Amino acid sequence: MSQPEAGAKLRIGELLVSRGLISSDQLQEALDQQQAEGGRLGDILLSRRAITTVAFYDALTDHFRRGRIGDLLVERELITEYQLQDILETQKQWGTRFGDIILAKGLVKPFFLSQVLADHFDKPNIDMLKERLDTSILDRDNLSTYSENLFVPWRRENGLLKVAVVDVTPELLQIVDRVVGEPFDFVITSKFDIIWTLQEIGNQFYTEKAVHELANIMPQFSASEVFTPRQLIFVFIWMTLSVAALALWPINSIIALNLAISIFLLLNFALRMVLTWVGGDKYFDNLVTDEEVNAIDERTLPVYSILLPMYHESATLPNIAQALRSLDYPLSKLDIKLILEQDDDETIETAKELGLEGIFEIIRVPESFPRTKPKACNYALHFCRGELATIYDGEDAPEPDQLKKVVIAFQKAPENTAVIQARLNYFNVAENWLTRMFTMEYSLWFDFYLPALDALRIPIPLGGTSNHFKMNVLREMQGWDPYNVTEDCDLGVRLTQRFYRVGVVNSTTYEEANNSIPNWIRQRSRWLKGYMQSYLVHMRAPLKLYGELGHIGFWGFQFFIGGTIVSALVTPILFLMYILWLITQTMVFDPYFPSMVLYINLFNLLIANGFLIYLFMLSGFKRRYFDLIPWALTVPFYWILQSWAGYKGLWQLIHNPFYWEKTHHGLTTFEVGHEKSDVKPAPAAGGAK
Amino acid sequence: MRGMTRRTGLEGQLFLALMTAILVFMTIWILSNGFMLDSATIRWTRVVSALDAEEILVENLSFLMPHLPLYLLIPFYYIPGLATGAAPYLLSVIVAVFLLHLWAKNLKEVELSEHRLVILGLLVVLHPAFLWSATTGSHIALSMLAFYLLYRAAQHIISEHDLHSYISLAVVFVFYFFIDGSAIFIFVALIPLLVVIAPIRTIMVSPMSLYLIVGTPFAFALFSWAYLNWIFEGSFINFITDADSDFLGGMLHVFDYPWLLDYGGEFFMPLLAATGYLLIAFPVSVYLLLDTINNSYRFRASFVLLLHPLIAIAIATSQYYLTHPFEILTLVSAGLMAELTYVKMQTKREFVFLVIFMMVSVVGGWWLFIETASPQMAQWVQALKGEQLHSAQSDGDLQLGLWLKEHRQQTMMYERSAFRVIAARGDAKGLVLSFSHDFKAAMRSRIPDVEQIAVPEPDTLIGRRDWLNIRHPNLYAYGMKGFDLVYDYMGWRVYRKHG
Repeated sequence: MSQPEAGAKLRIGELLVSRGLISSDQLQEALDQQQAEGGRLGDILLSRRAITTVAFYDALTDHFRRGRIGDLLVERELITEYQLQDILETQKQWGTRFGDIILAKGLVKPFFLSQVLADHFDKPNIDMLKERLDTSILDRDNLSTYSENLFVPWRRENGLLKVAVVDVTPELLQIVDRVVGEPFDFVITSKFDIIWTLQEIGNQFYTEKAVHELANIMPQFSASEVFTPRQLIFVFIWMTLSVAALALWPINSIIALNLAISIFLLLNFALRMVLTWVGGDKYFDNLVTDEEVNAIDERTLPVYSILLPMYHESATLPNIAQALRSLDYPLSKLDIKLILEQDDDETIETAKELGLEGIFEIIRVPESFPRTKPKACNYALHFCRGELATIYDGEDAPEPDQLKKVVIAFQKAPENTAVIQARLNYFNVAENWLTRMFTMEYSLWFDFYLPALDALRIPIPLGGTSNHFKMNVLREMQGWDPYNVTEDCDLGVRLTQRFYRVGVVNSTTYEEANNSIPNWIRQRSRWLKGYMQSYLVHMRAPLKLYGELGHIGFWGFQFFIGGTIVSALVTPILFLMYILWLITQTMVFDPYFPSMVLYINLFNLLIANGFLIYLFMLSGFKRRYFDLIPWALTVPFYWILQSWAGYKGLWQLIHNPFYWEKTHHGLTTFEVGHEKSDVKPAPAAGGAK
Repeated sequence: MRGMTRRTGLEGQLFLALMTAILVFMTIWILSNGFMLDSATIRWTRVVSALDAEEILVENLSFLMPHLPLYLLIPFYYIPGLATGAAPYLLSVIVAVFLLHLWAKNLKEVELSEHRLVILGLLVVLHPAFLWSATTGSHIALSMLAFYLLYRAAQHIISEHDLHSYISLAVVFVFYFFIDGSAIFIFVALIPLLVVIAPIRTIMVSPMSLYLIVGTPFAFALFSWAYLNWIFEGSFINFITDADSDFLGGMLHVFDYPWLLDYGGEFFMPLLAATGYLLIAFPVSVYLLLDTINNSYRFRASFVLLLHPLIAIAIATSQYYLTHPFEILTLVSAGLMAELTYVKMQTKREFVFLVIFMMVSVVGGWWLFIETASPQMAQWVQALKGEQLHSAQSDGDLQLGLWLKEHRQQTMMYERSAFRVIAARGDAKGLVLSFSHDFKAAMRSRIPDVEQIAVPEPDTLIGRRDWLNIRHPNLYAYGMKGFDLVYDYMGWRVYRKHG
């Protein structure tokens, strides 16, 4: 044993000297120390700072490796020869590391793989849950870097820092070198050991960052303050003046208000017509073609982080796991985070029981205020390793080629494109009236409005899921606002303000449409409350916003985001007045509707509402959901629900602004799928649950 | 070479300048020869009356005629020099030129050379259908524009099947409804033809969705109109029950129109007759149909162009609406223009054939137009020939209008009888017209509280329908207590209050 080892040592030393990385004296001193104290020559050279770790392993890359990983795995009967060949073929196609493919395919548990890797690199394999790290050597400011790159300083042995890593690559060594700033050597561990350890140690750090980072660095964008003092003063002055005007000129004041609302609604309608026309262009249906998807070289695809925030959704977990496995994307380039609340034992247990492949990582989010999805996502962001990142919900079923389409869309988009929003739609379209309405609304929103907003450079309120970010930009933006209950909408506007573009792609994620009115009200009230939050946040400095968004962007924001809020709140009042007038033929409203106001209102009532119904029809037509089209005639009832949710949202904005109204998923009896489900429910009702 | 060169912007402008010059010259020519279209004058006086009223109200325009042509006339009210009724003619010419501009723009898709464009343009413009629409100040120029867009949308559905085409078709129908009372017949006639236009896959899967997408906005427009009638006139169906409504067409005057006398209430006979009219006035449509027999897409479009106006004529006649087939047949000119934007004349032979058929259409069109002319069409032809229709001295309405222009006391009159008087007066300031509160109050009282009352002779067609004559049957002959006769000339009398 000693002879070959001594020979190897000599060879290592000689090689380093011959390359001029160390001097002969340094080698001699190291050998003397080895003679006296024992230990490995490499460790001694590193601890004596004779050479940097990066230079050391760069020079000796093949000297310390023992056999090939694949052979070692076969030798230990962890995989078969056939599987080995399959993996090698896959590796040629995907262009990723062997170990990543093993984990992605779930062939070997991460723990066993780390043992093999340790053997391969001739380094110790450690179980960090048993062999705890020395927390005193951690630099807490670098916790995010540790978690993003899967390494952590473990212990100091013989004066040399030992860093626990999952894999060894030159890039990683350089990062470690830069971060630790001293000589180090590495030990091998499983990636889950690192994740769990870092979570255990850095809970407070990550939570603090997730909750307060945006408010600390960009307070102007944080919704943690619902109304700024200036806004309160403005509201106070405005209300005072309104009351005074009402007292002095009651009729004229009401007429002025009436006129303002009427014109606002008219322009809101006009904008929606323009958006429908622009978004209806077939160009947007072919932004990325199937031919382009087929032609893509998978080796060039980036690592993709997928965030899956879930809460009490154990029923949907198997579905989404299967949907993600079915993605047409190299699995080894997927970095999937199951973001679960620490108290959600049920979902955590289910995730464990499912025995998911190594690409799925459970991120437990500790309990803290506010309990919102954006906070959970911010937390998980510290563990993401992808170049791109997206969010899916538990009940989502993205079209398999979505990620590839997004990569191509990014390549085709301007350099400053920061996020690309995929289309959202529903698989349980025909479940009941509500799902039909919801489907038409979403089709209109994602198939028409968002592409048009993109084309017209109007800030896009991102959808809750399937928005694909460039990770560096997302981090630069400090992630999502944890205090905003429509963090997606807010982020879309924020990105535009920072001169980033928000694009769209012609790929759909199918979700579960809310099929219960109370559940729908909960969800919609949160959305509208979030819109109000976003509006208030971005209107804190209207002139600045105007400068940043430009004319079209600013007014588009006013009418698209503001219009959604105003129409939800004002519609029932106008309808109520109208019905009252219709039934009683009262003349009490006459003074408030002089001819011009009356005409605009009549136009809004007849033509605008008529066309808004028509837009719903078009949405069904474009999606070829022909059976939905007649249902569009009932959409005014849907608007009433919308208004109900609007008022609930307004109430909550004042009384409980950060409360996250949880939408219950898994209520459908339809089967989850990445296309519109059949009209008939699945035979095994509840199969989706 | 085939002369298929790309046109420059300048050449296109020259084409438009030439066409504009022709249309402007023709219009001035016929107006200088004394031609005035009644419906144009009515529209103009309605606009003037509404804008000169104490309060400008949409309802003062009445809901008995489509409003869009009225709204388009409003800007002309503020242009000096157009007070006496030239505005509708100017509007017609502008719309016709705009249509030609649009056409020339769309023709770029088939890479037509400048020379060929001029030849086709002249043949289109010189057809009586186009010339009549463009120079008579009627709303038909707008109808042609709408029909052109409609037909282009239909062609797009056939060839592209994109969403924009469906939206265009539906939205154009909405505008059409507010332009022309016959839009409902154009719409109904298209219903059976939608199966030819739309992709068979969509029809097989869900025909209802197709009709809803195309028809819902039109239905909303119709409902909106009915609703406005209810709001302002008290009846949803006022616009199809009021005797003065334009939406009734010739229904209440069947005996005044030979076409309705011959074919009113029937479907197949007018269809047959209209086919004959079409073959004479537009044989080029048949040529295009036969020429496209090997091209499924274009054949479907040509087939619709041929059949659609005929069915519309038949339906409109069956409902006693259509007073003359040219009211709808003129639209074929617009359809033909749209059709030509899809015809790639690859060879000289194809182009020559097309030109020959278009020339035959022009000749046939003129022959038919003259042979079947209504009184106003005949007057137009006369004016075109350079014959002076009537002198100012012999025009009672004109004389009264000029008199009232000088004597600007508050005058009560029924504007449907006096539309030419108002046009001649140049404005409606100080006139008490039927939509005003003063008029309604005056009609309720035994002795109207106005300074002057103008009434037409009650024995004439117009006089019999005049509200003042109906309310005060002896007014024209005997005057009214407290009023003196101050004007009596060529069928009009004006009574003025004492002192």
